[in-house]
Amino acid sequence: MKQPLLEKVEAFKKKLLLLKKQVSLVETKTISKVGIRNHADSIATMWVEELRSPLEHKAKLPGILIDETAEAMKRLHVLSRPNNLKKSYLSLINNVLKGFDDNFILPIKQSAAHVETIFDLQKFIPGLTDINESEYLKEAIECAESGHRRAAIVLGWCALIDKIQKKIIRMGLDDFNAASLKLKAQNSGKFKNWNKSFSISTLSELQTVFDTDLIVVLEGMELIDGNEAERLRTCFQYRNHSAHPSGAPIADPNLVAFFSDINLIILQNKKFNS
Amino acid sequence: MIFEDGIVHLVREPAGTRIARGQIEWALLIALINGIENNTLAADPEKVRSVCQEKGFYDGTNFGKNFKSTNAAKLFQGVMEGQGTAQKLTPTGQDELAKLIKSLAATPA
Repeated sequence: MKQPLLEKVEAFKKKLLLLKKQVSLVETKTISKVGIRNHADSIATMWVEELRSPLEHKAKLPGILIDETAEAMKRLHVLSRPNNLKKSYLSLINNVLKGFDDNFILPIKQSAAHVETIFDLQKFIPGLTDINESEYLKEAIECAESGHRRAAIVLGWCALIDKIQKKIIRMGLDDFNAASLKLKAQNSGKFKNWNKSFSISTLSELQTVFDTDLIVVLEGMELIDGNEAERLRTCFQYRNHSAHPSGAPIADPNLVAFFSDINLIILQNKKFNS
Repeated sequence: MIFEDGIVHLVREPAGTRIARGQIEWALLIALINGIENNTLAADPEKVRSVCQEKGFYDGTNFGKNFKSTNAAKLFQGVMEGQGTAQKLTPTGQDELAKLIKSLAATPA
């Protein structure tokens, strides 16, 4: 919303400046040239048809500014009729242009990137990682933008697992295997019941490890902490509820929570990007 | 409807109706909002246009015509036209507003 609106506001300002120039060059006291009057009329119409509503309802500019500009544009429509005073045009244009950037452009630029739809994940989660990094993530975002929440979550989970697997490969599969053995050897504490160990030698083998086991070993490798692991298990539940027939709802807040979590815990996590 | 910091927020809004009808309903609601905020049951056509554009009830070609139809014209004391002045509701307009409020209130949330 922000950029197209800014462009329209800039275009509106340019049109006003051009009108001011055209009117200033007229040597008579009144404006009768059809070209200038049509230009004035088009500015007032642009305000009515294209600008007022988004500035009022989306950018939420102050009501008094909207009302004053609306009155000025109403007057400009009237002025665009034949033989109105040049000084009336100039006074009106100068009033609208006075502090124009501060009144119109600055507030839009300073406003947060408003979320037009909850599916616009890249705006809602500003740090959502570079979508070129993963085809899965790209497709997940496209699904979210189209309102296909379950598909978005399944693909988002694929993006997360893909990222984790690539990190493990970079670290070396020996580290992964060693961490699993270390956890298995624990007789007390959190992992005392963990009885699995892995002897993985290829990516293909790594891909056969259950996602829940992967999360446990990640914790063992100290790439994530216990709370992060718990949160990932919650995300995995969302993934399962999305991938299998179920009455558990996947609503907009679930979608946003899911992507926010996987983004902060894994996708944007420095440990997974080194 | 919520009245907070001098501004009226609508909890229920016109929905699922034809554009022409939606435009008239919004004009009535804007008159109501103006009545609460400024003590005058009147709607400014440009304010109506702005809201209709935002809410998806805008037909630029027929915006003025919709206000001039027999049923709509009797709701306002003067002619509602683009770039025209705000018009107060007639008693018929107030009755229509009351019906609209009841109908919106009866809509499931």
